[in-house]
Amino acid sequence: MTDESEDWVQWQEAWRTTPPKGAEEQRRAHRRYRGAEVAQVVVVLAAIALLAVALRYAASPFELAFGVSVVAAIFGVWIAHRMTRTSEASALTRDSIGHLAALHALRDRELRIVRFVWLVLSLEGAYLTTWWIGGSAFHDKELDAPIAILVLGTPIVAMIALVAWAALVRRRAKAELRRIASMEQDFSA
Amino acid sequence: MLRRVASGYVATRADREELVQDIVIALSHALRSSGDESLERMFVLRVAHNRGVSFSMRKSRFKPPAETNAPVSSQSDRGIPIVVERERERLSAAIRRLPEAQRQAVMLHLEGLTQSEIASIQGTTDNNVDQRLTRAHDSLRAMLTGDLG
Repeated sequence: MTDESEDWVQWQEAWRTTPPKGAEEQRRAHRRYRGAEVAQVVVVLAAIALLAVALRYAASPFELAFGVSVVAAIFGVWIAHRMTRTSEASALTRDSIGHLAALHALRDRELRIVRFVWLVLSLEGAYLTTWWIGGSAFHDKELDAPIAILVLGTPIVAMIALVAWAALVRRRAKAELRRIASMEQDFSA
Repeated sequence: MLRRVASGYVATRADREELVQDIVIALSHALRSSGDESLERMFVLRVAHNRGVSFSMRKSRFKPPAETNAPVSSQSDRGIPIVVERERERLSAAIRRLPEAQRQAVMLHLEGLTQSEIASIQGTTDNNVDQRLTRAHDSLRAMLTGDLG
């Protein structure tokens, strides 16, 4: 028997000693996964239910349109998330190179979504800025009224949150793409 | 088997259990999406390793790669001699330091898969797998000299 095959036999023996089960860690991981799945559905349903109730008492067409677009956005994000998960799951059955290529394509798609979100926000921002300037001039003395703060402030906060979320997604996707590229090189060598 | 695969990608027990949980969920999703109900060893290993790759990629965003000397339990809770568990932990830690393609080839080889089976999982040729295993052997030997030998 050569040195190399002796080493493999020895390592195989060591390897096949199954690592100890971390009972507590296993329970915690199981709870976390189950909790995350349930929490996601609860958050989406609660957010939509809350908006649906609020929409019944919408005071103006603006509020109605804004509420409906937020509901659509929540649904859209949730469906996009589920689609990514499904694509990732089906990519798992491919060989390593195919799996990495699928991950690469998914991260590229995320970057395209981020660019699309930023484009939509820029256009919306351009329109709303004109609308805010016009509105501010018209309601000069009512800008500190709660309804004015709500109508002006909520879209700004929502847009800033969306920009920040898109920036986070972009950062994560870019970092993963770098690692995927280096692994693709490794697997193709 | 899943716990062994996980130990080749992450160092701590908590991460390992999280990855095992992740693999089990991924397997159930993959079974549903492939429409194939059979849990063949090759299928399980393919899904488990692919999940291990993406899991370790996600984990490495938050913390640096695992150290060579991963935490070793001070006592065996399953009646297995501590020295045996320690050897396995040292081997796992050395495997985690290998480049991704070599690491995967080594773990599949240690599970008893043939070079053709490994080549099919990795999407490469038998010759390439042979080269990866030879290179990995040299690296592992250098890392483990004095530990297992």
